[in-house]
Amino acid sequence: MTIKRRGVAFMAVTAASALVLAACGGDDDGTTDDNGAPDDNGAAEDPDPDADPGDEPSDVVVTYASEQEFTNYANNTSEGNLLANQHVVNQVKGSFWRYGPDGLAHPDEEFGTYDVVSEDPLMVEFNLHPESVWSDGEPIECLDWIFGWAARSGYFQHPTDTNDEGDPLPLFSTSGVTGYEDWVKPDCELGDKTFTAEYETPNANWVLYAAVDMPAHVVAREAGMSNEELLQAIRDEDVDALLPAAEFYNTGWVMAPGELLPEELIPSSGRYKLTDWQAGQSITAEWNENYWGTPPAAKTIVFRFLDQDQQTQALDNLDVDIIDPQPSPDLVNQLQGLQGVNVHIADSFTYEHVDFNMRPGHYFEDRDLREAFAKCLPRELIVENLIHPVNPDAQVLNARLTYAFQPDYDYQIEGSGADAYAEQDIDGARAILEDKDMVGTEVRIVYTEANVRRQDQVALIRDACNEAGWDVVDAGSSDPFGVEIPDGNFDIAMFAWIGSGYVAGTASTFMTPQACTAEGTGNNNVCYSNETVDSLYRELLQEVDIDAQRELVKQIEAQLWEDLPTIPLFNHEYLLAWADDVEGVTPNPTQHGVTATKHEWERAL
Amino acid sequence: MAAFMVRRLVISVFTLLAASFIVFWGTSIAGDPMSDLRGIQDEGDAQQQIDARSRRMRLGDPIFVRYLAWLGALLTGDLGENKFGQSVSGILGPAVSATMQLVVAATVLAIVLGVTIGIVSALRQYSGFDYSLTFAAFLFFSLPVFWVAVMLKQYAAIDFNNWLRDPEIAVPVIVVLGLVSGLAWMAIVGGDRQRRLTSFGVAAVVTALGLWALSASGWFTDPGLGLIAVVILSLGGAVGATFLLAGFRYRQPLTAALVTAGIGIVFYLFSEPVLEDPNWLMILLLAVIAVGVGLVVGRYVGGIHRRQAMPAAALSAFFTGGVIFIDYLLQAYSTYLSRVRGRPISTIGAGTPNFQGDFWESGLDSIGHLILPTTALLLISFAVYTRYSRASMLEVMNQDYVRTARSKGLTERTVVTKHAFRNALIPITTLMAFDFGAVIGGAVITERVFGWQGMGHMFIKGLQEVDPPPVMAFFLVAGGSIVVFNMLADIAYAYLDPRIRVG
Repeated sequence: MTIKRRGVAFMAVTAASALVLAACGGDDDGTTDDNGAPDDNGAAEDPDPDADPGDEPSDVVVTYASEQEFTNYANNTSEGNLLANQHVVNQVKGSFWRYGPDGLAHPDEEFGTYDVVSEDPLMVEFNLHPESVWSDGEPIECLDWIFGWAARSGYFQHPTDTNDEGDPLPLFSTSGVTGYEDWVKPDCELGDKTFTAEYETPNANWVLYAAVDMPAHVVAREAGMSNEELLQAIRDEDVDALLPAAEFYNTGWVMAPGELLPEELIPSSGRYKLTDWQAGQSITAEWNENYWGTPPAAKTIVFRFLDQDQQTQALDNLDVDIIDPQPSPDLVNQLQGLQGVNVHIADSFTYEHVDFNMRPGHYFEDRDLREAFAKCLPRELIVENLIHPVNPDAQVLNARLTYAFQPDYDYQIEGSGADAYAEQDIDGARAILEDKDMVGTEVRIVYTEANVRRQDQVALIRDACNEAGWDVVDAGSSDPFGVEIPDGNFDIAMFAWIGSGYVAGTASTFMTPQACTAEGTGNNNVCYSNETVDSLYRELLQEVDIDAQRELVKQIEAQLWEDLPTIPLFNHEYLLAWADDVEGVTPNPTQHGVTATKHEWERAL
Repeated sequence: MAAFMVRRLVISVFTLLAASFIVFWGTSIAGDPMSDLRGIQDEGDAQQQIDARSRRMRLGDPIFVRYLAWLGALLTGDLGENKFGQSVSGILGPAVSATMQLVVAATVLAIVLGVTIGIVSALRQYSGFDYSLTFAAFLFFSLPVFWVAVMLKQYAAIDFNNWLRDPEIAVPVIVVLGLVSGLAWMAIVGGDRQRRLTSFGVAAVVTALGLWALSASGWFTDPGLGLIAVVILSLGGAVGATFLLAGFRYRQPLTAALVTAGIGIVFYLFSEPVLEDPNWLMILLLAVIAVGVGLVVGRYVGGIHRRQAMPAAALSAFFTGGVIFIDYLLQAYSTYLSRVRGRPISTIGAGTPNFQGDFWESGLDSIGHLILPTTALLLISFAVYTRYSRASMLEVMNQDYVRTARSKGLTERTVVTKHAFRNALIPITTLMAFDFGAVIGGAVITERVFGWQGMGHMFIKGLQEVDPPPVMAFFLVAGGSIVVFNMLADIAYAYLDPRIRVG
């Protein structure tokens, strides 16, 4: 595969798994979003062939305010999977890719490259950078990759521990087995820098599953095994031999505040390494001098642990340089009033929506009644009154699988049926209710009551829909996800989904649930079921071709507007503010956050 | 006494036990422990994490069973794990130490200042000073701490740091500060109209001139005391120490204090090699030596008045040492300033991350971070101490034995410091014990506003995350310390006041 062809293929791959990225099948310019976020293909992104690897970063400190304290180096275990940990290990643990501001996986070719080498069966070949090493000098290689698969696929089961139903637990604690569980059991030889994963079934999101994460040689050492023994135990599926390794993997990287493990236990594979942790105060990442590629811009990155309410004054006093608190109108005003501070407000990947309870026997099983409620929803008013004070550019969201700031949005909503609900239609809603003889029907909207804005949303909905003949009841709850929603004890549930650029996640929300019970619904809280949608999703999850994916998404979206199991309202806001002497800050509303590109942060002196 | 203590302890253990179940139960039903995992739209991975956490927190069991499991582990000395798998004892250690750093200095300062000012205000009952302080005490007492904290951050940190870029005091500010200072001194000094006017005028002019001189000479960019200021302050301190502890009736105590201060000044001239980069042990040692020198000088210069001269000279030595200490701190200031990009006062945290400097620079770094939270805590608890000590002192001053002491011909100074003061402190002991017991539980709001993750933070976070083990650890430490300090208060009371007998 020539270099040029690989580049094109990579773009296609990135785009392919992102059904939402429209016009960029062969287009190089796919990574600028609509919100003025800088192009992620910036200078520091791609390895600069002329750069002298001996270059040193500038001796400056850039400080980021983090609300939660760090807990765990193994952030893909079920205990360690916290955003706070992700943000710390970004650029500390190297990776084949990271989330860009558009929600897509952006390759880090200094770490390595990976690509589809066969589509049927789907095979992905990984090539680590030949000089890639952990910061303790050990090479990054096959064992790290295969161990990553072993830990995250759920392939190995614990010999004794079981859950409440008596099913064995996975041997290695994992935050999720998606993707890796589809791999044919991989193999490679110690020291290999190139290896190939084969999928049992094609996976549209294969780009997300690259396995290399934790230092396997540390696991082997702590488990009292040699690297060969660890590899052999995985090959032989020798669970007893793997037990001590799993024991260390599951608990050995958990740290109490301030007790940073010694460097030999937490070697880095990225541009930074963790060097200092003051309990409750800060954690420091310094340049990893053993990093083989372009050094980062700033030598030191400090995370200071700080309550969101205090971040604005801390930024004003330059105690911190970069903050990303939860936005509110007051906060945005305050930040915009500060001297020497850049403020960025845009849509995030979180969207608010109302779900109709479609459990058997509920009146919202009747599509017409769902339509009657959808027609009276004051979506425009909610955005104007509640969202514009924070984000003046916000608009009503008309899709569930695509967000307004993504390039494919216009294509996806065109002809989807969303325009039928673009205008509030109170008379239309009343006509349906009268026709069905349902005027005065009580509608209990369940939501997390601690959220003031949602209370306001309910009030606006009540005003509008009561006019149409509904009897909307504010049924805010302190624990809706623990009590009302799983029990189906609601007429409408209002909450937000935290999505990503990859739509496969929506499958569990709209595909027919296992069972319409508290345990069986999964993300499909409303028990929506449509065979067309199911089969479209089944096809989509295994579709690697981008144009075919776009068409499938469009069909699903149209079917959802036809069936109305849920109505999208708006995207939540993403707020980022930073001192204007700090350069190279790329706003990033994904779960990797602004820290995804912390290696580009630099202070102008 | 022993029986009393045992009885108290046994009752306390049962009280704590009952309370611990209530706290555990309350925390367990405080909300949704999975809220951070809700609403993630993925292929069911979030559900796996919810299940795993549910197993870890034993959410399948009834609350009472979980409580018994916690209690059982506690009896083996295990505080459990939080919901992210971190050991709670590992969280507790740093939290206790952060709270101690934050609160102990503020509490000690509040006690010392509050008691002093309360007593002065009692001695000057119904004077302008007394009224002003009463007003100020009620004002501070009623201020919400979060508001004070936010104001302090805005004005004493952000604006002050901005001002330091070009530190000049504007003329109107000088005038206003001069007037305020004049009024304050007029109230403190008291006396007839002539005397009041004089003190007002002198204080106002001196303050205004001083500020102007400091501003014009660029003192704020490169501050320091210098030899002259050290000499003046040390000798002034000697006079003050004599006034407090010996009075001016006889010459020897004053001479002793002045000689001690003189020795201190001579030490200052040659202190460079010793004090260039000391450590706390050396500072402590020097303080002990200084007090020792003071005692020796008092012993030999004091002659027959050595019982007054020795403490006066010791205090004078201590004070001179303090002046020298401050002078060295100020000398390190300009280096420190350049290392923190010209912003010495911080709004958050306990120190600049990764700051490495000599003793004096690190000291300045701690001061820059501690000054705001300490001030906020001080303003509020100080008010309480002022009121209590004023009331207690007034009560003592009206007792018969004070009148007897006066009629014996003792000086007013002796009556106050020897006879009244010590007895006035007895009721305050209880207050102090309560206060110390309570501060270990953390200053929840102050910690939060100033970004300190101490006991209060641990409690609030555990409650918000519906995670009982950290909350229970907080409860054990806070509840336990209140029980212990209450008991200490009772014992101290019985010891200090012979009229009280427990048993």
